[in-house]
Amino acid sequence: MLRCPLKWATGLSCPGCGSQRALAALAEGDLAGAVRVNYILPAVGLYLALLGAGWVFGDNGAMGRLYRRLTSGSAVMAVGVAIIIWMVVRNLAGL
Amino acid sequence: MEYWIIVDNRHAGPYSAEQLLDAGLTADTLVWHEGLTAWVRAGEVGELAAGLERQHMTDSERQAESFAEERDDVATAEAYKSDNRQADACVAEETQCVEPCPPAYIAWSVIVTVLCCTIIGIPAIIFSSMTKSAYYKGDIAKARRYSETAQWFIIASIVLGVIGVPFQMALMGLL
Repeated sequence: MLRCPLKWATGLSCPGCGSQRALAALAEGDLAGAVRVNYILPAVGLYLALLGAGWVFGDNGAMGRLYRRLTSGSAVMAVGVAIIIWMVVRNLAGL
Repeated sequence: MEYWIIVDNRHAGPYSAEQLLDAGLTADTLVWHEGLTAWVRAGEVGELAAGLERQHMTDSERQAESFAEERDDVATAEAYKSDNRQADACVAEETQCVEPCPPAYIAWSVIVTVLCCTIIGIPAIIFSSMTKSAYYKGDIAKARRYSETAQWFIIASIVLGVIGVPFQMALMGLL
């Protein structure tokens, strides 16, 4: 496994640290184990999946409204803030 | 509250509710204010709808003239009157004549933040967000600039991530 350069340089966990372990756990069918190494990955995955769905299925109807909401400036900023908060929390709590 | 409107296929604003109502706003004109995620008809915005209701019987020509006095520009009123008709046509065509938002690269910036490089990914997310905000405020030029900036942060993040891999392998071999 490749080591995160941030972790190597500073000892801090970045928001994505654990992605490789999560993939390895998923490959073995261990869903709970995949979530446990990085709690924000499922949330980010869901957000990206919804963005992808909105992009594929276009701007119409309820899907379009959800897509516009998810891609509004404040929603994107909220995602960024959530990722930073996750990084702070995981380093303080050792998650 | 400040409102932006679509007139003549372009975004304009900010205007106060009074300015818009004095200028002969119609219920079908598309408006936006901070907090909305999409353009809506003026008739669906509480404050504007109430104002439209109040001045239901007033003469729109006279309203346009008072708009001109306020703006100190007679030409504006003439333009605004024709803009209003254009905006109404816009509504009829399901707002397709509005210039599309420049790409905000939201998914990309989130992916690079989580997977490649937090430090460079976070500014990418911020510029993605600012692209959308600027676009909804009607500042297309700014939205374009932010879009490009987000793009460069994403490229830098991916390049650093890819360059980093052999170094990491070498380091792990040494350590």
